[in-house]
Amino acid sequence: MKRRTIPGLLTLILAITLSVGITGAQNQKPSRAASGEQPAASASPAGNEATPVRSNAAQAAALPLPVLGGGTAGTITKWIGPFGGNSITVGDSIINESANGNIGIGNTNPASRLTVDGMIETRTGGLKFPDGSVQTTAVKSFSLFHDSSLTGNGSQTSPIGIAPRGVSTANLADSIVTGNKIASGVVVRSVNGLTDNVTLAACPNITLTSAGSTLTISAQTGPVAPASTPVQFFLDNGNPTFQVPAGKRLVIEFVSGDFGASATTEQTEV
Amino acid sequence: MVTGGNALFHELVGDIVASGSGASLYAISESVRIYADPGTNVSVSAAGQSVLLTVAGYLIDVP
Repeated sequence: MKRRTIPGLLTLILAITLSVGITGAQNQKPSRAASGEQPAASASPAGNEATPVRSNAAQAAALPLPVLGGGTAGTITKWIGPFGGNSITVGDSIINESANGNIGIGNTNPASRLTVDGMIETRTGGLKFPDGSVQTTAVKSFSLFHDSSLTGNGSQTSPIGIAPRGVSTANLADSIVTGNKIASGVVVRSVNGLTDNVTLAACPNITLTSAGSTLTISAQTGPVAPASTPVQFFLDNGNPTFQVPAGKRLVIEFVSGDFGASATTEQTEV
Repeated sequence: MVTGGNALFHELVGDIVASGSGASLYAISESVRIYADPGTNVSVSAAGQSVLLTVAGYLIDVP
């Protein structure tokens, strides 16, 4: 039987063979005795034993470069070489994925969807935030507008502050300033235990005079005589009694008069 | 009179200015200093005879 050569079919067969070879290189694990190779020296977690991946003779015909090396569970594998010899070796990259799907770059325990130990550089586009905003540059300066009640521009060398007399009565609530906020030695906070509005009262020998913001206290000099009122009254048989008014004291200085008496009654009593 | 809370009697001695029929008229003129507290009743007792006295002094405020 004459055999015809069909270039397209031959190509298909080779492609199938090549595909089988690749599959075998990825999935088959030839025995170390047959291969004579040793596992990678790096320690690997249980269940992810560093297993040399080699092709057998048939596979070697289809894929001449065996893949060696191993990896760590959760760590993305990368080619680590050599690339010019008769095998290719794989190993751990610095990209890790945790059990809950968080990706860590340079970090084996990522706490966020993406955790990076190191600087992140965006070459184009910037960063996009959940609210949809995009930031293409870091904030280096900003402007803060304010009136004369504040000072400074908010920078490190000129922080925001309250300007002299920047706080007015309108800015303070009523009764907001308490005694503890008043420094000692500045104002009188009480007089003899009296607070709030204090009123001075005059007395007979003390005079108070207020003029503007001045209070003058004057004391009468010399002996102070009680206020006195001259009094004179008569006592006779029809009006024998005089009563000293309440709040007053009577000082009798002089008594004069006459009385008629028998030879045996010559005295009069007051 | 009452002063310092105590009753006080002051005797006035008169001089005879007229006499007759077993009776005499006496005149009194005496400087004194007698104090009487508020509310005190100042009275005169002349042993049943007629009497007319003029008392002079002054009233002072009690603190």
